[in-house]
Parts: sequence; structure tokens; C-alpha cells
Amino acid sequence: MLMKEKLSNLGFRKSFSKNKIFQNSSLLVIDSFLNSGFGFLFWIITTNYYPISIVGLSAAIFGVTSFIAAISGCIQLSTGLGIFISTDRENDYYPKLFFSVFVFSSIFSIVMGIISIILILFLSLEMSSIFTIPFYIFLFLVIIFSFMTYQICYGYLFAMRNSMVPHVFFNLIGNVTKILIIFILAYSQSLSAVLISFSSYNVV
Amino acid sequence: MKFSVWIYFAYILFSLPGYLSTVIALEKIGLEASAYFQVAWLLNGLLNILPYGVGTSMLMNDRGKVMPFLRYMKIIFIIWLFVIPTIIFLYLFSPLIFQFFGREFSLQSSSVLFWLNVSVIPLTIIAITNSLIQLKKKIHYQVFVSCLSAVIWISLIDPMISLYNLDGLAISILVSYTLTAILSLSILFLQSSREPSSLKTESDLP
Repeated sequence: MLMKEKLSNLGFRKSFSKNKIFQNSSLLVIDSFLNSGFGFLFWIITTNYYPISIVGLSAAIFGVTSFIAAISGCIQLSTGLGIFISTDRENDYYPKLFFSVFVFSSIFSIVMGIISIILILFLSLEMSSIFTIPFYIFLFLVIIFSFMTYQICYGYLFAMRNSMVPHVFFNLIGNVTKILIIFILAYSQSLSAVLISFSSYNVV
Repeated sequence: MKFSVWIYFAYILFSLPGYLSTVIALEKIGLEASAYFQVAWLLNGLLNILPYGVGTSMLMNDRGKVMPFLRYMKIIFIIWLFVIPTIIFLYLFSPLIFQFFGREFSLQSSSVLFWLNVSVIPLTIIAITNSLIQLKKKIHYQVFVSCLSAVIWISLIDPMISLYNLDGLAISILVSYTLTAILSLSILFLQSSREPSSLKTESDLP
């Protein structure tokens, strides 16, 4: 009760409900904590239930996909879309614009994914052996595709609603799905289980 | 737009160790090494947040203000006041924390984590200097420093891994960050010495 009164005296509740910047930055902090916490949980489950060789290989694949997504992010479509829409939220052609950006981004990510697979095979890296299996190629492309497109979706949602609530909500669902999948598929002890789990977060 | 793309490019170059270390560990040492490094990097990420967070908040708050050089040195020392005790704490308790990931991780990842944690000391200088360089809109310095950091890191990987195995990968990051931090600080000091207002202390400012 005392705590409640103190908070209300500080104007915390008022700031949270009235001030958009305060609300969004608080949600951003919550979002960071959620991501870190679920990230830890994910790797704890993976290292305890999967063979260490699978953990090592999936960590390397995760590194490569993040790198490709970062390079592809140079075109900064999500930021551009967000800034463009947030200047004027009334136009009804924005769903079409979002769709065009989404399609362009999807094609771009798949092209980047194929180029990176060719590069990995050409350099005959240790991980190139997994790209002889079509299912792994498919999962690899799904991860890169989802890495790129989820940023577009978040950018669009944030610009349209000017709120971090959908971001935090979908992040939470994505993280919970990721943990559930890695846990449920643990019996298989396979690389595909870890890769499916990776991609599920972004796909959600 | 051009400015933003160059900042992004510099950021990717500087983040290369984060993206490619696990791949290099897998290629040069083995599958297990990649897993040990990933877990150490995960825990190190908690310490990395501090300099980057302060740097970003400086970018937001100090836009358009006069930047005294001594003020930035003070900020770096304040971050170190938090970072150094955390490094000592993690050095002492990381074997216990890694028990959550498994016994092998407790043995293998602890020393990697120590070297990665020590690299946060020069990283603090780089993160704060980068924010200041961005504020001064001298982005070409940031791109140059990031390029140099990536080149130093890549050229150190092979000799360091052959000398210290998996620890060598973390030591190569530490050495590249240290050299880059020295260079960044020198550039910043030279820049500030050309602008007399930057060398004033906070009390001298109106």
C-alpha cells in the first residue's frame, strides 16, 4: 500500500500512461530483459539436452546468419519505412507500401542466403557438409529470411501504432515458442531441431 | 542517409568478432570450441551493454553541446568503476555460473570469458569515443578505426590460436580492442586540441 502511494506520488503511473516516450523506453528495457533471459534459457536447454557438437555447429550457423542479416540490413528498409510512415500516419496506401517492402526484402534475403551458401561451399568450410542436405539449406534460408523480414514487420507495427506494446508482445510469444520447440524436440537431439527453434522466434 | 549507412558499415566491421568468432572457432579448433565460445560470448554480452548503453545515451543527451575532453575521460573512468569489479566477480564465480550449461563449459569457457571480459576495458574507450566522433559528425574516423580494428583482429587470429588455443581467439579480440582504443583516444585528443573549447573542464564552461 505504502509502495503504491510512493509510486503515485512520484508520478510513475501518470508518466507511464500519459508520456509515450517514457512508456516506450520502459517497454524497451523490459524487452531487453526478456530477450536476455530467454536467450540464457535457450542456451542452457541446448547445452544440457543436445550433444556439444550440435551446439557448436548451431552456434556457428547462428553467427553466419546474423552476419548475413547485418550485411543485408545495410539497405535499412525497416528504418526507412518507419521514418516514412511516422511522418504521416493517415495515408491508406501504407499497407501496399509495407507489402512491397516485405516482398523486396524477402527476395533480397533469399538471394543473400544463396550467395552465402555458395561462398561457404566454395571455401569448403567445416560447416559446408550440412549444405549437402536440402532440408538444412531450406532451414538456413528460412532463418535468414525471418531475420530480415521480422525487422520490417516490427518497423511497420511501431510506426503505425507509435507503441512498443506489439513489439514486446510478439517478442514474448516468439521467445516462448522458441523455448517450447527446443524443449519438445530435445528427444531428437538433431541440428534441425535447434535450427527450427532459431527460426520460429522470428517467424512468429 | 549516406551518414547513416557509413555508421552502419562501421558498426558491422567493429562487430565482426561477435558474428564470426564461433565460425572461426569451429574451423580452426573444432565443433566443441565453437560451443564453448558461444556460451562465454553470451555471458560477456551482459558486460558489453554498459559502455554501449552509456555511449548511446550520450548521443541522445549531448547533441549540440560543447564536449570537454576531460568530461569524457571522467565518463570512461566511471564506467570502469562498474566494469572492473564485475570482471573480478565473474572471474571468481564464472565456473559456478557455467555449471548451468554443463561441467565441460565450467572448465573450458571460464578462461575465455575472463579474456573477453578484460576486453570490455578498452571497449569502453572505443564505445565512448565513437559516440563523441558521431556527435562531431566525423564519421570517416569511425570507419577508419573500425576497419583497422577488423584488420588487426583478423591478422591476429591464426598466431594467437596456435599459441593459446581457444583462449587465443579471445586474446586476439582483447589485443585488437586495446590497439584500437589507443588509436581512438589519440585521434580524439588531437581533434580536441584543435578545438580549444573541448579541452576546457566542466567548471570552465558557462
